[in-house]
Amino acid sequence: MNEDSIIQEAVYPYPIWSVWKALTSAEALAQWLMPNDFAPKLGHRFTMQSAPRDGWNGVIECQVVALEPPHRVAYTWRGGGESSRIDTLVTFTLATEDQQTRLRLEHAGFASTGEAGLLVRDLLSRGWKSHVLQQKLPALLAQMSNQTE
Amino acid sequence: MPGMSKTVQHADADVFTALAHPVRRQILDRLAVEEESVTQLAEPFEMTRPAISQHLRILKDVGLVTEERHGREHYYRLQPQRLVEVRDWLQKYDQFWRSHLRDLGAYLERNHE
Repeated sequence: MNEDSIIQEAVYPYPIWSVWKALTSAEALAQWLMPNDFAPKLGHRFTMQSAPRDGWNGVIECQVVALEPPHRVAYTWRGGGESSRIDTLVTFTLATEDQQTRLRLEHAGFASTGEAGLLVRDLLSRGWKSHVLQQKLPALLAQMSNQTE
Repeated sequence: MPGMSKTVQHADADVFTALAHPVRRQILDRLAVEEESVTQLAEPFEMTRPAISQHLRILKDVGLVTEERHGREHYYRLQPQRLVEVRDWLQKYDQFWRSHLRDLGAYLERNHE
């Protein structure tokens, strides 16, 4: 497993082509992900519009870098405010499994953010099993909310 | 343009950089238990006090620790607020996908023929 990724899996009780269509149609993506001008063409540049926040207009810049119907679609994913800018890669992989479709999402490349990415990697790969985040932080948070309320 | 090549410039990003070093994370772990002096902190690391002080300065500059002087010793204390911000930032991406993969399931159900 790549340590510098978010990886999630889901199984949908629908045929692989239905899921593929939902992943590669702009209209479908707009319904379950974000407004966008995606097109199923290798090299196609598009944007997705997330909610603007923290001095960032919310635009995510993407480019299709892999398209293998109905098994794999990948696009670059650049966005974030100045303070949290990321230059990453999103890959969806589909496989048929017992008449259902298993989807694997990998959002990779957080380490490209520089040293900041190392922390992402640490946390997401459960590499930091120490006091601060695992044990101590919940207590500290509880303590802080008691102080502010 | 100076600095344009850097994407990590904001204070929040500096917190990530501060946290990226394993020694600094270990320091924070220790400070999560109790406040400690530079001398106490330096002990397990086989590092010189100036080297530890350098790490502590980085942590202090981004607001992860505060420093207090008692006599000849400087004591350091963890400031968890910045860690909370960082944790929230990281969890956003994980939650983002969790939520949207659920939405995909709902979309498929709605559009199933």
